[in-house]
Amino acid sequence: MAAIRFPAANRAVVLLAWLCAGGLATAPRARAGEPLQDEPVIWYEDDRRDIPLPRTREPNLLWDGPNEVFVRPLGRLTHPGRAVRRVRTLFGGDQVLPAANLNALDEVPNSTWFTNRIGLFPMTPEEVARGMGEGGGPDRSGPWTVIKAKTEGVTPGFNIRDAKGVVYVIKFDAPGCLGMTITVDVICGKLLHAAGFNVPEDEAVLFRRTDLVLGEGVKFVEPDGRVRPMTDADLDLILRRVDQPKEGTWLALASRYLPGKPVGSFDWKGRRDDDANDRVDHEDRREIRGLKIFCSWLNHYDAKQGNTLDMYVEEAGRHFVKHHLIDFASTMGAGALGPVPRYGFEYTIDPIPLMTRALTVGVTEPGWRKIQRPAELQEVGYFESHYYDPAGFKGLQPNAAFANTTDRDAYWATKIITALGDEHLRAVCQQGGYQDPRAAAYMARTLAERRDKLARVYFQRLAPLDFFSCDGQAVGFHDLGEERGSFPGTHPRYHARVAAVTAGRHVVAGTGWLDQVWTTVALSQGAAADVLRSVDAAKAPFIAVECQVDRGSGFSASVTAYIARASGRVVALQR
Amino acid sequence: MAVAAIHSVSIPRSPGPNRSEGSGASAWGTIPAAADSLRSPFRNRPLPLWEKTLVYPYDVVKFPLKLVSDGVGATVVYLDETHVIGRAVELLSPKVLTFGFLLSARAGGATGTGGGITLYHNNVLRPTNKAQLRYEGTTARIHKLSGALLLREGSSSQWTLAGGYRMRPNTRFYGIGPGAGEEQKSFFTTELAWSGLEWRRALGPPGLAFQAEGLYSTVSTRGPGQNFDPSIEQIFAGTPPYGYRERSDGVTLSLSLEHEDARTTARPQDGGVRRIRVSWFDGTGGRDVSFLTYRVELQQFLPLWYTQRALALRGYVTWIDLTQGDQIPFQRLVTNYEPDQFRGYLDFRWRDKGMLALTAEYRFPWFAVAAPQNQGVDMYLLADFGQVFGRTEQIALDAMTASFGGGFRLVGRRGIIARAEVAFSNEGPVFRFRTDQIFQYMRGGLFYGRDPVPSR
Repeated sequence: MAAIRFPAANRAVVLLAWLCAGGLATAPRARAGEPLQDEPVIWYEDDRRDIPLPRTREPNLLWDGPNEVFVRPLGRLTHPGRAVRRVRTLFGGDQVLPAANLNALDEVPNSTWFTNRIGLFPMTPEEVARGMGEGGGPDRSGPWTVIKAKTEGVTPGFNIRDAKGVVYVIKFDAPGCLGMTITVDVICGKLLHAAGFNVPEDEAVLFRRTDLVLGEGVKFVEPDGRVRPMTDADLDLILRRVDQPKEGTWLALASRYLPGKPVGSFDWKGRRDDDANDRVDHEDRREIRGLKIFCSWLNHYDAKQGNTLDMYVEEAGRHFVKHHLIDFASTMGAGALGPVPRYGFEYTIDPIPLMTRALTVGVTEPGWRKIQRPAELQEVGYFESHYYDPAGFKGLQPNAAFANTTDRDAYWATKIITALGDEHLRAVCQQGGYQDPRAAAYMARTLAERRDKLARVYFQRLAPLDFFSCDGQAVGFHDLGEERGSFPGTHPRYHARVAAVTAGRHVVAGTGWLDQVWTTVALSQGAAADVLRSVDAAKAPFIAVECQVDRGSGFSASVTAYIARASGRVVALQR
Repeated sequence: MAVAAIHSVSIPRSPGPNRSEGSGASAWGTIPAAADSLRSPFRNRPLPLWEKTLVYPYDVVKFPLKLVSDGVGATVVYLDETHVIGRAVELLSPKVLTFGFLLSARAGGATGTGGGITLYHNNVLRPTNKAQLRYEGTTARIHKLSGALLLREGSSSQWTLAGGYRMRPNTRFYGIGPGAGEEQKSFFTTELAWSGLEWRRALGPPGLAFQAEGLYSTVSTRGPGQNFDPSIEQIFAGTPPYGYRERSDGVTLSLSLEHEDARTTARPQDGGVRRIRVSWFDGTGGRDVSFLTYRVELQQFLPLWYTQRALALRGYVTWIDLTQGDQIPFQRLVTNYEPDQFRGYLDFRWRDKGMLALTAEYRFPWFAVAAPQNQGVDMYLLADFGQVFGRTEQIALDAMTASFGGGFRLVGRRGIIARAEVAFSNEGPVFRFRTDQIFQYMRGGLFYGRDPVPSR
């Protein structure tokens, strides 16, 4: 029989089709995971090696916007790998590769980007509320010396040096918005710190004019650009432009200078080419992808490059770059120019809602247009939980890292957010500097409601069965959805199956589904014990415990923990 | 310090050390302090073979586009860092200055594409006195120059002194009456000059005002400008309209009563404009002609569901009653031109002694910067019905024109900035871009240089 011959162009199409099919076909295998090893879990990223001072990287605000809004989304839309993976999402895959900086337990190791805190460690409400530093802001044992003034912009401010010689930036709310941005900046900073991110030490402070003294040689820039020595009258002028909670007292944000030398912002995409420690593309870092979920919770809509800061720091004689998130004034419904209802729901330029509104000719009303600020709470912006759509969060502009957020990344972030209990949130909001205690209570309550709403979305997508442990007799796990009250009114039931597996995760022998009343799977008795006894540990050195939970709507997808039979160590987790 | 007391009362602090810095007893058991055995230099995940094979050719194809995008980016950054963009924005951005200039633009609707510049002075001897000098030009070689002085703005008695000149070489003429056919399209040139005085007096109830106006105007017509074919002579050989190739001079005295209670021109949700006007024209040139023009106009804004959905309705009737002479010169007949547009038709499509129309716009919000009440872009659906008539018996449903369409309204901080719309009729689509609107247009019309002929 004569072979079928394709013209050259058709051959290219056939090749393309085979490649796409190959991409689709390898979906399950891509999720199978690395070979198992009975070794300690990696908890630290090796990114603190001594490097020379990188150059300062300042993103251009004018180009950053169009680049994130048009150029990068177009790149993602036309990327062939993403296109194939997008089809694969129909079969349960992700449209991107998994995050690259994960340990075997699907956790983020400590690094210059992230330090595990409340997600893995217990923290008291006081610890969470204290945040980054020692708490309290600038030292008050002496006057604050003004060493630099900021006269331009909507909100004026100045830098001070306190009695201990520590430098702080003093910032104020925009006129007519007293207590709005300072408070949310403090709250977000403390919550993101508790989550594990590097943030500056921001505190709300009250002060009087007599607490300030003007330093020597401070320059003052006139509106026309002329520079001259600053006088007390200039300082008075700055303070006169600022609203006061009461006569003679000012409310301000004291933001402590970060240690080290600033080397500019980090990009949400790619790496710094002059930092040898920066080996993982930022959009493929779990904590940066997962930041989207924190931003969703806090409505941190202004997560642009300019609100990040890399510092070149020294620790134990080594110099490296540490990565920070800064400036949380545009969060929780507040904004530098006043409260903002739209952001968090739509990008500044968002084609899909625009097209939808055009096609539906205004018959439907987007949720954000219905949001009302809480009556009588002047310090609270457009922050609420009723119209909040956890998965629908959109910042001011698309974000290359957030576009890569997978359900696993989102689950990881949700796990951390739900570790913050109501007590934590109340303690943090009390630190915000609200003059009306009802405002602090409202914010804490709204954060809790948003947290629970968020948990119901992401704990539904991936089963929140986590923190597996093995004592030799049984494998225990935690149902975070149940423990953290994310599904009130439901009664979970579990089932699990146990298998003896090879290092390549191939099942040698296993049980069927075993109903579990509690979050414990027995290994030393019953069917699991029979299976494990029947297979030599040398042939199948690992145990796979696959668990599912049912909260009334059917069993969830599986979570599988792999345990080394020799050491009893949990060596891998697969969702 | 005394402040410490305030501080400790108003912002309670949380003392105590932090225990959790990445190691210790965790939910996964004890995480030991950092050691080499627990440390890994993570790297990007390698792409699977199938993806590499797809991505490499994609990168090759994308390369020129990447060069372009990088080039645009580098240019923007360079222009920004050299302050070129900042200075341009500063120069073009709207300012509330005593003296300055404003730019305007227009496109479509048979006027050609063009723009204008307005020099203004908002403090002529005193802050309530304003002056404007405005020029507009288009690719259709339409030129318009006007100047005006507004005295005692905002007071109960305000005066406007204005004059202007407009040359339009592509005015359309299809015949007179509701039956004028599209196939009779022809062109001619109009040259209009005017000067006048307007007195506006606020009456007792809010929004109620009386207006008196005296205006001298001259309108001459001749053959069309180059490239505008055919001319009136070619289409209406032997029966050119009355007044063609002649000048019509005269004085117009107008009295009007107006009540306006719409609170904004940007997104009015309620209120409206009610206006009656009587004008008397007396010819001063060779033709001994005089006529009265009556006009009644109602505009109403109705709030609909949700916020910022509104129905804008406008209806008007204009009628010219000849009081002396044989005929009314055709260039003084009413015609569909701003703001009395039939938006699915080109300007000047219809002419006659009378016109009636009903316009509706359903407006809804489309885009807003940050908050619904901020500047943004609204959309609207429009429907225009109307006709011209020479005798009241000609008013009939089957003589009524109908057009439908939609558009965008660009809303700024101080009102509407521009509109872009397309309307469809049985004669096809007509696109217009304008920096004004057909609703709420009248107040200060003489000051803003709107054509005073025909009288509206």
